[in-house]
Amino acid sequence: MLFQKKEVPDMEVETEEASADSGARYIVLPVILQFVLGALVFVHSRSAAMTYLYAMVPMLFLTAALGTYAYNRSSDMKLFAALTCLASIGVALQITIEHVYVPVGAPYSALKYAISLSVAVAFVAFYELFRIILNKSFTIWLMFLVTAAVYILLLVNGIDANGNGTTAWFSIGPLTLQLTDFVKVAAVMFYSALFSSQSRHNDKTVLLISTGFFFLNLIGSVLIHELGSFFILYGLHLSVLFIFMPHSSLKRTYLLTVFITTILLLAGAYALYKILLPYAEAGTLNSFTALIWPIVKKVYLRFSITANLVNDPFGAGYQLLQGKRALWMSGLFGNTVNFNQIPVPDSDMAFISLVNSFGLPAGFLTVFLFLRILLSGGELSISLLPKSRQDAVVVYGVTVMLFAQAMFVILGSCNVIPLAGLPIPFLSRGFTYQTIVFCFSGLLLHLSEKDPDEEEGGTLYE
Amino acid sequence: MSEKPKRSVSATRIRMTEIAGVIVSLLFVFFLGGKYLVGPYLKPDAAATRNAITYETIEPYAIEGDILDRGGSLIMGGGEPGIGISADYPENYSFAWLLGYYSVSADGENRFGIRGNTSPYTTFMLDKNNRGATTRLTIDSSLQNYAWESLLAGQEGSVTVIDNKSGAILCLASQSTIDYDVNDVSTLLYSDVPDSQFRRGTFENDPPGSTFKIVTAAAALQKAEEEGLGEDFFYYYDDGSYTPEGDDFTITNYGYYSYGDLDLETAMNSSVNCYFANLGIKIGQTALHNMAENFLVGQDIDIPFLGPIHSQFSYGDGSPAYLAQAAFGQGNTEITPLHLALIAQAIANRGEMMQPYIVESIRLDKLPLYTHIRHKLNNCITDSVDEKLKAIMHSTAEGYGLDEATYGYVCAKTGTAECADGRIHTYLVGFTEDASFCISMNNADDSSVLYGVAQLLVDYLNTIYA
Repeated sequence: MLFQKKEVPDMEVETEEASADSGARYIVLPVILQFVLGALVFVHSRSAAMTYLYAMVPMLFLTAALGTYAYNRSSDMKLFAALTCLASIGVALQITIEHVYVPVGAPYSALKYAISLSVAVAFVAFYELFRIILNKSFTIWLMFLVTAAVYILLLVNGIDANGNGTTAWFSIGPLTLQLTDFVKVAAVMFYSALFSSQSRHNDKTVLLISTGFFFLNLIGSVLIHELGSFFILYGLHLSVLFIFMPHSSLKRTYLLTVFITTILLLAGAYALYKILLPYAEAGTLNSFTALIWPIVKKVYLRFSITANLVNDPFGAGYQLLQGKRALWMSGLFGNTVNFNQIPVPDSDMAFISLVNSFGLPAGFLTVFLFLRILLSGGELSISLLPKSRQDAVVVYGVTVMLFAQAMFVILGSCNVIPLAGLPIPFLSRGFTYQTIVFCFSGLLLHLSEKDPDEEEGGTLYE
Repeated sequence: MSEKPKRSVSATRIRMTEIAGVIVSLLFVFFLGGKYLVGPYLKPDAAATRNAITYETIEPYAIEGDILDRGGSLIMGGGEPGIGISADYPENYSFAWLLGYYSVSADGENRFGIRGNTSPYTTFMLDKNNRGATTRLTIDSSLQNYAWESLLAGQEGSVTVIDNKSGAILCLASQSTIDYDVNDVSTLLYSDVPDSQFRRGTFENDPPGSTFKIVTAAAALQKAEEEGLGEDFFYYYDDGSYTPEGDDFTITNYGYYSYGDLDLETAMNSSVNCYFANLGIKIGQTALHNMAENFLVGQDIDIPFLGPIHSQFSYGDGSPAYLAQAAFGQGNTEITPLHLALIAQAIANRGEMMQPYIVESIRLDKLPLYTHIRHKLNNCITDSVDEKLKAIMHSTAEGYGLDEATYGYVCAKTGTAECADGRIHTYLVGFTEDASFCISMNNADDSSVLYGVAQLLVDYLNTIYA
């Protein structure tokens, strides 16, 4: 009697049905949001609404298909809803920006979205191979090499795609890739390999190797003048060590030293700016000071402008001042006065463009969706800890990458902290980063799948 | 053995990261929401900051929305980017107090009248051509101009006209001690008389004088109806003075006249103070108070986009003398000309007082942002009381020269209030079959000077509704 129904108590059936219904509603939520977004886009621009309508057809299809797949694989459906909602908000926003604002990046392209998604699907499909590599001790050094190679490539052949002095892009034919995004992937893999169950490094070695990797990124970032990405890597470095290294006085001393050094370096940058400014104005910087001057100036300006926007309202403060105007005008459903003078609306200021277009509640929803990713990712990492440390580190690293970068740029664009010129996951335009974000999202969903044979709370990987 | 505790420590630390994320997210949302979303709704300062920033940003390209009258004729408009809207003569004067102004700067926000109150739509909501929403008023431009130019003709006062069925304000003309020009806000500074700088129809709170006898008559008719009282209840012999029982305060008629035998209609026709003082005592404090409340005297009535009109009903310390005075409109009862017109409107409309309104609709291009929905404020009196009151007021109107043969069906009542500051404020309240009105003038010794104005107004109203 292969298909004989197993007798189960009524209560059990009810609980299972309730759970199934609860999971299914997380497919409906993004669908509803996609329609609401359509209405909001329509209010701002009829032509944008038409473009969105065309995009909505595959979006609805993908939501249903991926949702059903995730549901059948017992994935974390709250995470699915958060990821899908953010992706939908991103599409609606980018289409609106294309029609209403003055974007600086490449035009919105549905094809690029499709390619990014395809790459992400392939990435998840081949993740088993990556897992094997992550368990090998040579991966640590391989990631060292990859990272170093990226920085060298950018130093030699990097291009400044946005014209802000950062040579973080590399051009291959018609494609322009932001290679620093690959450094972030390499960093996640590096830390995963470092803390892999198969690795047997003592605390001192872990600190030594990770500090080496940290300095490699610091030097590389300084040389290509890309501090934003470095701050994300800085956060990842400290938090991974804090969480996954066993408790010891060595670790505590190390983390404290890094933290205090950071404060001193920032203070030093401020002092250096004041010292070097007359030389820079006179054009008498020597070769060393000429090398550090752009970084010192960048750090000083970021902090001084955050503290007082009106110091340079038409220069360094212009971007944030326009952002502040937009925040005042956003209201419940977005600005009603055709305000579109937001610099870099499609990238750094994407969150400002979002609230300016769809209202502050849309911004709050976005923050909560990112928070949902953090909570789901955190819990997933915890559940993976006893089974696969490298997976736990990967999940944690990916989660931090998504949440930290999002909040870092969102808070910066609202002038709560100094602004770093980085894309916001899902919201900002940028083919490379978009692809990586989709890969990360797919990975999180994939790793949240539960083994049907396993007891509740378990995951596919052991 | 040593692996497990290490893992649980990692789990705790991951949770610490999650908690940190929750705290950062919540703090950020509270900060952002509090400052930029909730703040402007709760704190006027925050709203002013928002509007100042928005205005400064849009000033180079935004165009304030047009203002049209009930027929769609332009009252004020024709703005261009960087150039404000304006009104032609005589609208720039006749509509000045009504339209008002809106200004905002880093120092704060100033708003007055319809332009001030509709600014969220007309200034801060732009269509694809950067033009603000268009406001359509219920005002009849020609009537407003006629009232300002010909009826008031430079005299301090106001003319208010309300449509009987809908409550739409057709005219709210006001003449003051200065000629405020809506095209030049600085004209507001021409006068150093503080009381001169307001829209009289909605701001001038003075005793209603003999116009309040309408309310007293309504209360008496209702009492008689409820208690089955006959003709005797309304009979009074007037010898020219009246001292309420239990009090030593003596009330006299205007000009110290005595009228002999009186009933309600003859007393109303001649506006006999002593008769209504006695009637007030007879019907009592409660019945008079209830009827005043039925006509919403003592309650604020909000007119969308124009603001509330205030009034108060007072019978002092409740002594017979105060009640007697309150019954013929003296004492501390205060009311605005627009409210008096509203009382007339209720009587004209079978006792139903309609919500007064002046903004018919606001549209952004073709998108309706606001449309007034007609509704009644209160059922003031019964049909039978209404019929009797109309008959009394009709014969009273004929005494003002508003004979039916010439002017059609008109009901009216005059009033003269002696204000605390020595001003004499005269009223003529009435209604035709279509519209109700209140003409008020300051510093006119006798309300009879309003007869001619009322005749001209009724004539004009008949032309409009013909």
